Amino acid sequence: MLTIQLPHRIGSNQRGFASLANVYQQVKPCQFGKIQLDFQKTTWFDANMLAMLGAIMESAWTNDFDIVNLGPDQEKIFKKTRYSYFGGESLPDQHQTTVEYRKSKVSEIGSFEKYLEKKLLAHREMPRMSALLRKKIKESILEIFNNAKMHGNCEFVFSCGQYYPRKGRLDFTIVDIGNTIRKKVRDYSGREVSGKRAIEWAVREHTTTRKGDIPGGLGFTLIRDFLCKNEGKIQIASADGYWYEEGRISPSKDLNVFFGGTVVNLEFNVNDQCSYCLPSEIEDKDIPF
Amino acid sequence: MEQKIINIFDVVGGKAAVSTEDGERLFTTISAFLEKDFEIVLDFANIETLITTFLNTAIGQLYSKYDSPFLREHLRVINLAPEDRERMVRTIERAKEYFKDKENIEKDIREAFDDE
Repeated sequence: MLTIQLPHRIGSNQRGFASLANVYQQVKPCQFGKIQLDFQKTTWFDANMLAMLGAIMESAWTNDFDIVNLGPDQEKIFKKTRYSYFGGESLPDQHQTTVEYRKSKVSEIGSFEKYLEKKLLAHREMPRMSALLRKKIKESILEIFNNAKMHGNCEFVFSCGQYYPRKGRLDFTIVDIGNTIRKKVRDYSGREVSGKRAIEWAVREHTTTRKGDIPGGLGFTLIRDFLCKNEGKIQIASADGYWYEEGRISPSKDLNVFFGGTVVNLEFNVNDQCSYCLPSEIEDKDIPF
Repeated sequence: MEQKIINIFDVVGGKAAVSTEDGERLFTTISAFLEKDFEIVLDFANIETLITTFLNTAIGQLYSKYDSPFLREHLRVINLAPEDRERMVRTIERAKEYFKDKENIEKDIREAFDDE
């Protein structure tokens, strides 16, 4: 039996992604065995990061996983998200601060959209957001979902969220285990680019690894534009690269450990009062075909 | 020129235009009517969620078959939510650029990694 000690803290940040990528590295070679995930030392685990843990456990699905020494508070949070390890068992989320964990087939974006509507945007504890802010949040998440489908070559997308009322922030994490961004960019460019360089390139305006008749290279640009106005944050970890953007700052770094998929964490400022509806001078008839 | 109104709500079966499959269906429908020289009106009434992956497939892909003057003459949009107009415009601009000189764009992109 393999026992993996989880670290003290798993947050939605570079260190958190690297820690779970390290778990991925350890479970990846295992088949038809028993794996114990030991939470004894873990005092904090961001609920949204369950999306990454779920994806990792799925990637080693032939094994039996056992979660041990999970603190009662954390167990509560895990169950509030209906984390699948507990077989769908759930606890009432009185304050509705978690967004249910979900494993979605990439072919089912329609039901994923309904999940966002029901489990994320309808939370009564969420501040009163303008209809446009809700729409922008939903569209950003759906763009990432479709991105995983089109580029990740994966079967499932894992997601989970956490709302922090005091901070007025909503963290939502989307993970796929499939082609990494580095692989896609390497295949496309024929260059041995690093993970961080590949992400930097992939999020630039007008870049896409697509070669067919369907244009691409706009989704990330619109998300970045929105998050910049919203004063939110986007983080991406894929292969051995990590990149984030907050405000106008967007550095990339080495993750130092390989993760065989892509994690995107979107952090929204839900107290944002901007309307996002700039007085558009464009009318339907002016659409420049 | 005969006119055909395509109701997007009807094509996607709801108020969310988000999947590439629905985008492909719309692309096929538009193409079929364009082949018959119809004027097409895309009616976005009651569409509340619209994302670029849908638009790229349904609209952007048209530029692989038709040029801009032809589409301007044959395609019209109505009832698009004001906040979605910018998304539509950027999708179209992106598609024009993508197909304008695809080989050079790809070359330029590859050159971005010359120092790797």
